[in-house]
Amino acid sequence: MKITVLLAGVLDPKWPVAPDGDGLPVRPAAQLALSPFDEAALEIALKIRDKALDTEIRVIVGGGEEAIKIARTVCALNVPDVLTVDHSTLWDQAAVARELAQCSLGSDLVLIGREYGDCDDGLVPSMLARLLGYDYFGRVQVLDAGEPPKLLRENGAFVERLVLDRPVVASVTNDRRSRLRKPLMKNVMMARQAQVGAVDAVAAQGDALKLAGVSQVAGSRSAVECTIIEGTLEQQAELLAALLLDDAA
Amino acid sequence: MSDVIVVGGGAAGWAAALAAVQGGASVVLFEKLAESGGSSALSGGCLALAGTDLQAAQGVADGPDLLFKDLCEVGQHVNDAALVRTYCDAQLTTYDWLKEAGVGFSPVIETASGQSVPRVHTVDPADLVRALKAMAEQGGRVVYRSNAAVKNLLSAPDGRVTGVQLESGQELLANKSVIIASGGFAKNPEMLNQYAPQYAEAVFVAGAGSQGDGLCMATSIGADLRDMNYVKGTFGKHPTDETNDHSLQAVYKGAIAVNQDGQRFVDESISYKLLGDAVMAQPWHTGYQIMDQGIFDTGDDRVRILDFGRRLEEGLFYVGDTLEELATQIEIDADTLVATIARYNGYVEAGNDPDFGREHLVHQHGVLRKIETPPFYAYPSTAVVFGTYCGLRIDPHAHVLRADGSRIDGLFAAGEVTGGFHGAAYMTGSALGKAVVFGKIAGEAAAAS
Repeated sequence: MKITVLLAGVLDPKWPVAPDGDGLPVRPAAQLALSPFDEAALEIALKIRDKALDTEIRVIVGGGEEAIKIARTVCALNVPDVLTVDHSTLWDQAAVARELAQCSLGSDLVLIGREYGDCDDGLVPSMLARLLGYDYFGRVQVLDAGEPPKLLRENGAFVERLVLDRPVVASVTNDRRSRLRKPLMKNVMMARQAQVGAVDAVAAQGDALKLAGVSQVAGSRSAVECTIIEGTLEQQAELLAALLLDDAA
Repeated sequence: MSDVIVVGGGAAGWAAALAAVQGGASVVLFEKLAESGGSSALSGGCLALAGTDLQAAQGVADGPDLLFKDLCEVGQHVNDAALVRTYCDAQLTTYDWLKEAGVGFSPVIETASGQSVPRVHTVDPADLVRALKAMAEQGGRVVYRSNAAVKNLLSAPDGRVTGVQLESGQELLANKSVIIASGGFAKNPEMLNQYAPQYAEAVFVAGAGSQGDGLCMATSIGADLRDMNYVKGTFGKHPTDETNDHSLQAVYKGAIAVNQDGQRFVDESISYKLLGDAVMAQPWHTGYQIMDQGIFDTGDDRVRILDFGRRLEEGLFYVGDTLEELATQIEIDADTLVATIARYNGYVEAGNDPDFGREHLVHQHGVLRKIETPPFYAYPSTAVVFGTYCGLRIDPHAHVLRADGSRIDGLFAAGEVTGGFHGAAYMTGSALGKAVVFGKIAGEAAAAS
């Protein structure tokens, strides 16, 4: 199985966020870390490899030079195929999805942290699945390591499992059962010398992958209207029902 | 003008401030960071005390003389016997004094580095500092100034220290004395490179204020230094985990230490400072504490250095149903690890360890255990430098001394900034113990000066 893991990296919350002149946060390498979603996505890939040693894992870390520190962190987990992709151009969710799709071609499974590149809109992973023509399985929590291994997600008492018998893009949320393992010190020190390649973001923006209708979807979060429902429970229920009927009409 | 100026707001500084106030002095305490606490608040909260009611309740026979013997042995008799004697004679009084100040002690007593009997007394270290601070400030005779870094000591023409100069340039005089309690230099890369280059690859965990300020200020006016060759790290820090800063001492419960080649490399019962030296000499500066379920079950989650269950929950242990499975996870040749464990178990059976001479779990305490009951556990371990355990030479009254042994009048020191007490190695609980015992002594002496 060929697995591609897409890792965004975030500013480590133990450091204060310092905006630069444009008001965007500075992303110095020393202050970047894997997010809990990144870590869970990577751990699920490693668990699959634990089960099937012939599994090939490729990890793509978002960012330029500053992402190399995170890339080496991944190398230390015995993942030799680690690349960075610099989303340096003006972007929206669709642009990020296009670049990531180009990086993920040929994979049997794409694992991506839930918040990659979209401020938790959840659009990038589903767009990525659409672009690749893969099935999409969102909010994965853990690998069910039985035979065959399955991706698992839960909602209250309900559990859903997905057998990995088809190409899938899976977005991963954090779960204590998918906490990232610690690397061995010898591998950390060897990873200091690891060569980390970079995906050419320009090449990744070709026209080969089309996504219809994204302009209506991308950025829609800021345009959603909000109505506050007030009153007694009965009044709120009536108002809600009226809103839903209007929406359906 | 206050009577006494205290530089540094860790356990030693606040102990000194409290004792000085109780001695009738007015005090100004300067803390260079926004919050006081220092490295003390980050420590494991262990105090080495001997002859306490808590030990008596558990049937532990201990006292100042056995403590003195152990401290000298673990310090390889390099330590200043007069300082050690002073500590041993003052620690029980200090224990009662801490309780009166509101410091709460856990009922759990454990045995750790350098101890012949169980004498690790555990507190919440941040609470300890807060309790001392609260008690010191109660009478309104302490002025506390945070974000105020002291940069220089002021001296009279006769050499007597008369006050301090702040980073802002402001000068403040003291009627009586200045007490330096500003901690060590574990956060000063240049000083570490000068005094402990062998620890370049170690992990450093210390208060951000541990920059060696007090040490530099005092030496600039002629203070002597002690034990600078004995900066050491503590064995047992997980090398790649950044969430749990505390060391783990499974070796003192019967685990063995193996290196990345699967070989033992040391008598695991010796001081964890010497174990720190030993592990830094291994490939990748790392080893693994290997144990079985029986040893794992002797851990105690209420003691930070023995909280095996909590570390397992944090995902820091490797666990294997067989030694071969464990070896695979930590990338050690399985046959080698199995042979190492078999050889060690044979030594335990025979009561003789010809490789390294291990006879006890820790120091001269405890019977060795075989590693034989699955599952098996491995805890990656390197050395962590929590403190520098060396520094200003003081006499038993905490006066700072020159190289010729003469006192620098008006200047006292306590806590991590001082040298001479630990010697070549370290007993668990003696750093925080030293901070409060000599902080109290310094405060009393400064108030009386």
